[in-house]
Amino acid sequence: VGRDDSDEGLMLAYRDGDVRAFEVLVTRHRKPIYNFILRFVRDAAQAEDVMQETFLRVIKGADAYERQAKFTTWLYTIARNLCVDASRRGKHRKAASLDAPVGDEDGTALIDMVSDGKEGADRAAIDRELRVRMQKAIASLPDEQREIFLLREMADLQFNEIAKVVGCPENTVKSRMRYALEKLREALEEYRDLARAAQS
Amino acid sequence: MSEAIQNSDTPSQCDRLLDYAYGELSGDELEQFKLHLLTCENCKRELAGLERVRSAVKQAMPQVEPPVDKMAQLMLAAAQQKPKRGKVLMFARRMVSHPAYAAAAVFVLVATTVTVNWSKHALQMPPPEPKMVVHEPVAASAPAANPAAKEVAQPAEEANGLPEAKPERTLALDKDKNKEPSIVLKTEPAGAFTVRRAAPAKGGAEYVLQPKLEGYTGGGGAASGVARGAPAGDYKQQTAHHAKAEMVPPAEKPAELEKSPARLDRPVAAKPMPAPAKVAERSRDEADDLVLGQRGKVSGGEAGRGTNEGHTSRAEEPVLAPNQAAGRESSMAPQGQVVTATPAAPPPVAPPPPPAAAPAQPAPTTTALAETRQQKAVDPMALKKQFLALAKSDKCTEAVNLHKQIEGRYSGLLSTTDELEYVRCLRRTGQNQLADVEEKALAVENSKASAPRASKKAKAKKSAPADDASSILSPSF
Repeated sequence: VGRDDSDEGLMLAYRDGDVRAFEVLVTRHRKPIYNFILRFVRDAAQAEDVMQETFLRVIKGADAYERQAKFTTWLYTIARNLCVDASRRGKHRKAASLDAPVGDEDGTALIDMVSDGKEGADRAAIDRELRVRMQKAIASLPDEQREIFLLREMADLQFNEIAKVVGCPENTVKSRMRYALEKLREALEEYRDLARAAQS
Repeated sequence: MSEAIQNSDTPSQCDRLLDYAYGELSGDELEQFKLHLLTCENCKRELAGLERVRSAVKQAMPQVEPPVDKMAQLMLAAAQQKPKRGKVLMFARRMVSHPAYAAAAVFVLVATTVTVNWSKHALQMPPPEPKMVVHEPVAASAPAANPAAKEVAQPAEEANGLPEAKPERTLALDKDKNKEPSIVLKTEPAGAFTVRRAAPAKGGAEYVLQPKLEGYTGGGGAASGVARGAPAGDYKQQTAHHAKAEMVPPAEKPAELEKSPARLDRPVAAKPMPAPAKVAERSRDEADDLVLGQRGKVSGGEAGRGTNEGHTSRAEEPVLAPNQAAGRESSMAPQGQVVTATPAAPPPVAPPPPPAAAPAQPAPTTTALAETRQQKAVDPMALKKQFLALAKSDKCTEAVNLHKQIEGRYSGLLSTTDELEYVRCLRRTGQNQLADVEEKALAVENSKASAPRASKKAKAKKSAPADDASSILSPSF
């Protein structure tokens, strides 16, 4: 009754012993954070582990949580650091194959998860080609650009929040974001006709 | 110039394209950028390309639903590792983080510490010892022998040199007064309690609960009663300082108790008597009252015994005159030399106490504190020297009495050798049983002390070559 439903309020409630508040928090953030981690580590099993570890660290750090810190900033800082560690370990450093299963354990490929319309075989082929190109382009981004791009597009964090997460000035974040978008646009230019066809 | 600086400091409208594309502009900034976008072809083109990329990215990277199988584990972990910080911790954190709270906490802490220390001192204040008149001069070995101060603290029972332990107060724990009490609690000198438990068939058992003195400073503070059962013997011939057990048939108890009437209940003689006798009587009465002060405690009568001291006896403590207190502080007269005054030989000391020294009057706090300080100022080493001098000069009764006083005040002051002297004195005074007990205790202590020493020596022997080698190898600075 009268509980603060903001992330910070829920976190404070959990800190005071309300486990339900933590459940709400997890339900609210698990999807975006999982997608961010998945695109970062490019391995479904690894992404699951990292996500679990992220929330476990939130549990462990709940005692020290103060309202001054924005919850999402804290959450994605933890997740990003874990992703960086996982990348450094080099297990999944190699470029993930788009055909590799990343979704459910039934082996659904990432490319198959993209909603394919029913516009016909040509359109589906174009879409598939476009996605493959974009996936490759994103995977080929430098880590510092990719993480910012993912935090912006996947986690929907604002630039000032991203600056706090990655620990650099906001202008640097925007600059890296511009570079990332520029590279993706170049990749898209090569298949302009395909993209136009896909958008039409 | 200033315009150029302003332009360099403030971002141009073109730099806000990214913010606009991601919806981070609002209010005036948003309006201004929209106006700018109408006129800036470059921004229009950039924005179009940006939107295309974003659209393609959204198609290429759809949101994937996370697996749910680990969610249950996560919630279980959340429930199990529920933050430990409760309201108390939160309150503590708040107190620490806020300056006013922190200041208040420090104040409370300091005040509590001061209060506890003060009350501890008050509780550790040794009970006033009964004063007796000394006829013999103070022993030559006693330092700071003040001729004007010949009052020494001495229980009244020991004034005539007889360590007779008279049961002073009896408390029967049974409600039925006509019935023979099964448990009898008797208070004895030196703060000891005698608990007599009468077994129906085999007679009674009697135990002395002797507070165990851990150290003079009373760091632990809590006195621990030690109930020991020793072989049967005449407890009256033993000092109350030590344990004894006596199998007494239940039927004999009332008679025995009648033989030793409670002195506390005895009215003070009101008939006139000569002046010196009055002094002696007053001394004895004071001693009685002081003995009462000792007995009223749960944990014993010596200094630093325990925290229970002083509570029950504070009102019964007499107030010493300054000269009396000074005498107590400086005089180290052996206790065995203390005898009661007789009319023929008036004591040269013991000025009449001031009216405030009435035994039943509660003692003022300041006087009690001063007394405590003065009692603490007694040099224990002087007592020790005096004890050794008495023991070596074969004044064994005095030595035994002084030993009691030393042990009561400064437990652990005497070394094993000194204790052996004490044992010898006990034997010479005929207290062989007690001497045996003491000797056994000394033997146990010696064995305990020698065990680590021996192992240390063995270790040192083993490590000696290694140490030498390391000292050679390691550079010395």
